[in-house]
Amino acid sequence: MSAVVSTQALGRRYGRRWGLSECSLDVPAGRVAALVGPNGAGKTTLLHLAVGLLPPTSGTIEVLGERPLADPRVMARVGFVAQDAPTYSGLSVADHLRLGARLNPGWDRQLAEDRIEQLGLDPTQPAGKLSGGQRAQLALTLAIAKRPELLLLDEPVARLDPLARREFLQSLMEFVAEHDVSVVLSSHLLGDLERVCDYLILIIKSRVRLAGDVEELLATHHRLIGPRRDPASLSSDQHVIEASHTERQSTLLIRTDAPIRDPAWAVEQINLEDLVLAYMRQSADTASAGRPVSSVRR
Amino acid sequence: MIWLTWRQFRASAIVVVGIVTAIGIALAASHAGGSGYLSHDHLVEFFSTFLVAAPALIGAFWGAPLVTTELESGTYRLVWTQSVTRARWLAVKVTLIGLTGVAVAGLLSFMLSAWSSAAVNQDRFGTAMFAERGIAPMAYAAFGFALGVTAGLLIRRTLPAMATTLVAFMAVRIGVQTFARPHFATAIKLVSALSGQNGHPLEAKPGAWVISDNFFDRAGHLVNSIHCGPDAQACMSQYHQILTYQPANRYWAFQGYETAIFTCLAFVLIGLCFRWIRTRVT
Amino acid sequence: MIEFHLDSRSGVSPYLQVVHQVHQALRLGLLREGDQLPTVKDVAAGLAMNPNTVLKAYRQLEHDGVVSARPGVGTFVTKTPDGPPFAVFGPLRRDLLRWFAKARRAGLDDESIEALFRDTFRSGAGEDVA
Repeated sequence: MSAVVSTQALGRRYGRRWGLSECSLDVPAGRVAALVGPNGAGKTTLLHLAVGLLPPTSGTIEVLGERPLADPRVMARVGFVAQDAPTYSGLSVADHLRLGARLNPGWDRQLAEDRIEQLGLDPTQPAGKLSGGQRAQLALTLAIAKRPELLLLDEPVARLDPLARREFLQSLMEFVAEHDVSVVLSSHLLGDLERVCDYLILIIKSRVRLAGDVEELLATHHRLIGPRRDPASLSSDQHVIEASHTERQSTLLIRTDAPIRDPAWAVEQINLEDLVLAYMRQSADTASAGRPVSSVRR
Repeated sequence: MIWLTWRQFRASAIVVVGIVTAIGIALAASHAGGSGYLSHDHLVEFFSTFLVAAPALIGAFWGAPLVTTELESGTYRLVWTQSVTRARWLAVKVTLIGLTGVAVAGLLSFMLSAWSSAAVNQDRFGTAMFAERGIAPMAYAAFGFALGVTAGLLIRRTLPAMATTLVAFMAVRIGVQTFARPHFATAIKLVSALSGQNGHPLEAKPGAWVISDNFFDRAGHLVNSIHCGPDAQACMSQYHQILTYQPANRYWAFQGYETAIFTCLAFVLIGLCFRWIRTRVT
Repeated sequence: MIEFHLDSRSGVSPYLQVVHQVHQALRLGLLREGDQLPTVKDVAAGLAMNPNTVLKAYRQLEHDGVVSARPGVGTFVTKTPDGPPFAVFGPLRRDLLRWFAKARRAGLDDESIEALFRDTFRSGAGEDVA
């Protein structure tokens, strides 16, 4: 399958600061990809580049095989919900649907109206009077009813209360189940990710630190617990992401493709949230981005 | 896109239609001799001032916020990711709202001409009234609007863009009026010596635009006042009057030039906007 | 019909949780031959879970031989497991109760018992890999 989002050394500079740099990705189709990273890492920049709101400063990006800025037909195949789900506060819910219908050739009116009804939204209510969760659902409806091949969502649940968050994700998963669509969903909240996403992209300080299938990442990262040991003594095919030591015990997070044969270690699975956190901590400790270095914590 | 432009512009449009209708009714009524309070000529003068201000207001209130409100509220991230290009978005908005502004100015100008007395209309070529009649107001409106859109696009915040539009508009309008307009065609210059009987021998015909009407002494210095005693003839003949004017029959040509200048400026600005909206805005 | 739930704190991946829950239900007799599993869409929507992952779980169950997918209709349980009959649960349950009593006599409270059980169980499972 070809990539839905493909970038080569993509970069975007704001004045003197690089919002995104040296970003090379190939997000496979048919996935729900999580774009994670601390605030200000570059997630919104990447999404805005993908959707044509920003031109690249360096490198290239292709979405569904095309350059985003070039063609409104590309935009018709991509649905986007920006951070905080912007809507026109003076326009009603029905007006927003009319906006979608007039500005998009592939608009599925039945889908839009069914969703609004299912969500219990009042079509005459101005969008400014909706709750955060309702606005997010309205924005998602606008993106979905275009019948896109790719959905890009920028922190869609960040400001929502837990119930609204759950309902939004349920809505989204239902849509993914029924239609052939790829999703890239950015979030700085890690808790929901493992059940929702099957591909992960981790961006820290404007660079991609990790990208791959969730299944593969979880299969190749292990937590080793055993008697205290210097991480440098491990074999070369085991890359230490993080190490912490007490007087008697070492806990290491390693990345390896090979099986672990040393019987001294107890080997544990790691979940996605812990994996991401470990990489984020490692980045915070590292002076230069990009090289895995073990960090010692007491 | 046409629907969206209308839907977002609806409130402004209704307000302005209301205002223009009210003005029309007031003028028509007082022209027919109805008003008690204000004399018809005062009403005309008042609304004429409104027409002079209108292009700047159109620029500041319709032009400047066009792009800035989308940027400031963040809705550009919604509307520019639908399936229309920014160019098309801009084209429809600029055309519909710009033409509305031009129509408003044109309508006001027409109403004021139609319902002014002939005596008032006679001064239409003068600097004061040139902007209140004929077709120039429409060009001013187009230019003011284009200026507003450009300012909004470059400055990206509503209030500074509005302020810049007002200042820049006035600068250009006054600049053209002062430095360019007198030279659209070579003015006619008449010189006459003064005589004892007539201290002001040269008079421009009605409807002409008097550019300057001054007295000079033999040395060529401008004099502001002339005092001559009993021997009036000898005294007066030391001075001469120079009258520089554009004759009344050039009025429409001048309206044409002024309209052409401001229309061209408007198009140039809008052209730049189309280029800049793709690259300079986000 | 079986209803799934996900425990995001359990350390077990969502796909495995679904597989386990089906096996568990079969073992306890809650699911029988011919029963239909919920549709992928319903599971995805109900749990806010990636439908690909649900599909993967269903495929795993098919691979395990306990369900079969009928295209356009749904996924159905094909047979109850051959595994140990419910009879073997009785003695095992009694052993467990005895162990619980022992732990309580040693002074462990409920939470300590559960912690000890989980930790031993998990690291016991892990020791297969290293």
